[in-house]
Amino acid sequence: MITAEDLKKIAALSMLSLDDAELYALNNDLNDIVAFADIISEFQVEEPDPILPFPLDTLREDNVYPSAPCAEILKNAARSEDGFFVAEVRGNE
Amino acid sequence: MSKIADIQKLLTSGAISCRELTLSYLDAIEKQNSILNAFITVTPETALLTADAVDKKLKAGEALLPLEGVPMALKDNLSTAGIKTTCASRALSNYIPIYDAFVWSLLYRQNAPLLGKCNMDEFAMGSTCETSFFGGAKNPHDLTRVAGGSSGGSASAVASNLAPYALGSDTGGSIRGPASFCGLVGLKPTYGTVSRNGAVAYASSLDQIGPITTCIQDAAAVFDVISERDENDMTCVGASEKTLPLLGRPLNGTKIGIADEFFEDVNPDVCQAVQNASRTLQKLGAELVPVSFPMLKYALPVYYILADAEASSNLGRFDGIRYGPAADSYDDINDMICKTRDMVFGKEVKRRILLGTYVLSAGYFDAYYKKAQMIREAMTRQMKNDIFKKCDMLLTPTDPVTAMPFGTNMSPVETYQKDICTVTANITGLPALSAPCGYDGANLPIGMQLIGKPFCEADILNAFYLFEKETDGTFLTNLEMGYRL
Amino acid sequence: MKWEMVIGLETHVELATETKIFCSCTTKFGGEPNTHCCPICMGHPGSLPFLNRKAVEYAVMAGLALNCEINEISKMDRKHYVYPDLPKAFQISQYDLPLCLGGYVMLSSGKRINLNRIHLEEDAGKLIHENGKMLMDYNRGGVPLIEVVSEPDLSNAQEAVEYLETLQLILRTIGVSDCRMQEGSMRCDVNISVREKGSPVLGTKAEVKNLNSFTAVQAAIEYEFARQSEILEQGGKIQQETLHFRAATGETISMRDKENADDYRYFREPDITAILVTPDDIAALRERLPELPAVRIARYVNDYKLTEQDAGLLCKYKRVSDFFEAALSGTNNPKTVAAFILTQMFSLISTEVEREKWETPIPPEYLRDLVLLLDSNKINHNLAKIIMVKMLETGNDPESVMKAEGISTTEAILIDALCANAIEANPAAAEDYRKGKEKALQALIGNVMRQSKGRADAEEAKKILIDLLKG
Repeated sequence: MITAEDLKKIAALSMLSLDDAELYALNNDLNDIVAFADIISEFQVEEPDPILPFPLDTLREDNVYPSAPCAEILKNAARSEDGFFVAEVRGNE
Repeated sequence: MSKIADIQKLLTSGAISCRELTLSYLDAIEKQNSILNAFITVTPETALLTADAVDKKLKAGEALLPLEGVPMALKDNLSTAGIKTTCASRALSNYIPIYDAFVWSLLYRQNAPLLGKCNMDEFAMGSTCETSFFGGAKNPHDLTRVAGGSSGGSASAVASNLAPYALGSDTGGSIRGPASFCGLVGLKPTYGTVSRNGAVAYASSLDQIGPITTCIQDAAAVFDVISERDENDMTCVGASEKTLPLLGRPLNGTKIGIADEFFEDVNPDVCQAVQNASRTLQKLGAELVPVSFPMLKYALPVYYILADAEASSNLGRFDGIRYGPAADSYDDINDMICKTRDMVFGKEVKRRILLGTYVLSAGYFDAYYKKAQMIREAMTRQMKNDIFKKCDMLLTPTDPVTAMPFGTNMSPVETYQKDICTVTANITGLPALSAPCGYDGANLPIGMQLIGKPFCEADILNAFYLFEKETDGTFLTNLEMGYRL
Repeated sequence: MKWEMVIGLETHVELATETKIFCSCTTKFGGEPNTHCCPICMGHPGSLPFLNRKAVEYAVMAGLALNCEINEISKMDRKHYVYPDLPKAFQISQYDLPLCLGGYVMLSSGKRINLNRIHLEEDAGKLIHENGKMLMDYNRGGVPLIEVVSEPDLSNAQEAVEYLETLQLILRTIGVSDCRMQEGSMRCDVNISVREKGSPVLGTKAEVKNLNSFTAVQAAIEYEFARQSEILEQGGKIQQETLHFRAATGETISMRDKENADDYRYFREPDITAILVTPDDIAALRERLPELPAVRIARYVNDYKLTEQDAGLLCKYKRVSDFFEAALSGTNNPKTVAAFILTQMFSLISTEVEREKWETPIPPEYLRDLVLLLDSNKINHNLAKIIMVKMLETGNDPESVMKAEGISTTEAILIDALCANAIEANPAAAEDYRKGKEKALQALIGNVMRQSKGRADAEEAKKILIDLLKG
């Protein structure tokens, strides 16, 4: 059972600010989904599979390639200034 | 039946130039897209630039590459440099990538004119295309019904002949479901055959990109091109063989498994159509083998736990700072990020992020995420060591239902049930192919699915290819809408 | 003192690879903001990481140099937290299966500081606060880091600083990082708790971040010890919290309550394959390790009879000790070679940065030649110093300098003088030789030999005597 308090914490971790109406609706939905998922508790735990690793020669060689131009990097930013991404610490509009 | 072959024949014979051909598709899109809502972005300049390059080659008498000159469409979660890529979300509504998805670069190299970016469920989360920020894509067979999801736009475009073929992505059935609803062929390749580089991630360990086409031959042709190994995707090994040359092999000796578990809670029309198809396959020489897959009951919970966990992780980056819209009224930076995300994500996306965070959070990780991973491994083992020792491929319905009307009111859990037959292939990394095999009482397409052994796309394509020929392509979609060749 | 402190250090070290950990952008320091970036290190939607082989190798080498166990199989994990300098809202790091486990660092006191682990991870970008705005520069984002985690074995600020200096020297020596705290290629977080002396129970720990120099580490530890013991003395409880060190005031300020600490929601990074480091790989990487500082210092002390202090100074900079060894070959006088480096050369090349670079006006052979001259008494110490200074000024070899300055070898001057003395002191023998008595020369040669205490060249003396007598 996910309580409203639990959900507030999860929302905070998920960086989602939800109003009370949303919280209420989502709370019900989530509890349904969790109940639906709980069937997995029936399954008897077995040993996890061994991890399949890959040798060092499959990794990338340390050769420099040109980076993207700054203008491209900043292209999609809502706010940028002098080559930096900008976020106003306090926004009020 | 092959649109790709037909189009290339027209081009090489000189009957039509690539530019004219492409223009006719663009024209049809302009006329029909407002009804179908299959495309989010149409890209005439890009398409015609490529078409002109093809015409130049044709004039010079050069031979065409396997997909050259055949216009196509890409699901809008595949990055196209310089062209808006929205994932049907407000979060990326104004986002223009600075790099190309690997699969797009492969098709670009083939001079495949890009008609546009297709509609989808927001961030690929959904099975009806209704969670799209731009509204759902319509099913060309019945405009009051959904095209399926999440690659609904791709399916709608191909089924209505607005594009000869399209690429979609499949995390829990998002290629196969829409293919099934729209009477098309949809292939989800073995995990690791097609590069995910540039495909906006939903669930990284489940996502695969694949073709949505009108016939098997085209699916094979497209798969053969896009399954080139990408060394920049550490999880991509590429395909080991070309599938197109392997179509047409007799089915004798092939064992096709039927597991009853996949037929429970399935619409009777769907059951019937798939059973009929199984008999046709039998006639073609396949041996039907009863098998058992009791672990199917865990498939949906395991899928939603793992997919949502990875999704919550993959979507953490959308904070409005480096791309996407940003909130402009807030108390501090944390508040800004929270308000931005609240503003740009739809309800289903939020639901999945919250669930994903929950199953990863301290105190719940072991019971949910870790457990789900273990069940996943057990399912994969059972497929490999048990089921695929008894048969070569599994035949199942693709979806338990046919296309539902828009706005069908279902709870999240009810909606998730639709994926019961498809998620297993994603969880276990196996290749899975949907092909049309009938119509229901309302004349809506029914899809059947073959789940194959790892890297055995050629075998499942071959089986349905023979079915297609045997049935004279009766179940393939060839609608009047859109431009007709 | 009733109280004692228990300290553990988490040290982040930037690896000196050419490219970032998951993409081929340069790791070069500096550069205009956001000019060393690409879709991968920016975490653009759809981007995928491609692990840098050298980063793994450097991490393993660090582990070997620090006496760790290397895990044959290790993996990368996602560590989730939200901060504008972290483009993906998770950091790719290693959680429960890191590259290196255990290990230790020896202090000069003989105390062993155990390590818990070393793991590989990516760096975040840089965040600047300015005029109520946050400015983000992601050039640093994606630079490979190793995190070296010590056990809480350190007992005071001096040990902590020595531990860091030792770590720095080892990692610099093996070439995996330049470990410059001022440039941010080495960063340290301190975990410190206080308890009653002799108590087996650990106190509540606080974490101090943002320490940019060894002095800051020392100051922060001392401040925290005072702060925590004061609270405990009053009967209060220590809050488990994260503190920020203010260099200006020497105080630690609370950043956030560690009770509501981030839930990192670790899970395995699905886009990166697990890493295999075979015994053969480990052997090959071990081969690549140069002589470690402790071993080299011991060798200098035992074989060359240098003092610990001098040996330590020479070994502090790899290029200096390499120079020393090159200058040594052929001479029999390591102490003198060392002395010239530690006095004349160090006063010319005086800063840490310069000594690391060790861009010397002369090659080691010139120093060797100078010391050889000194060894064979062709010049004396005073002359040698003068010549050395001139060599460093001009960049020329000893011969050229001596020629330019009109310095002749000690022996040359001496022998002339000695012969003149011999003739003056033995007029009879000189007369006899002039009259044709060859044997008389012997007496004169003998005199020269006695004067020079046997060091003069007898043949040389004979020639000069003959010249003088004739002339």
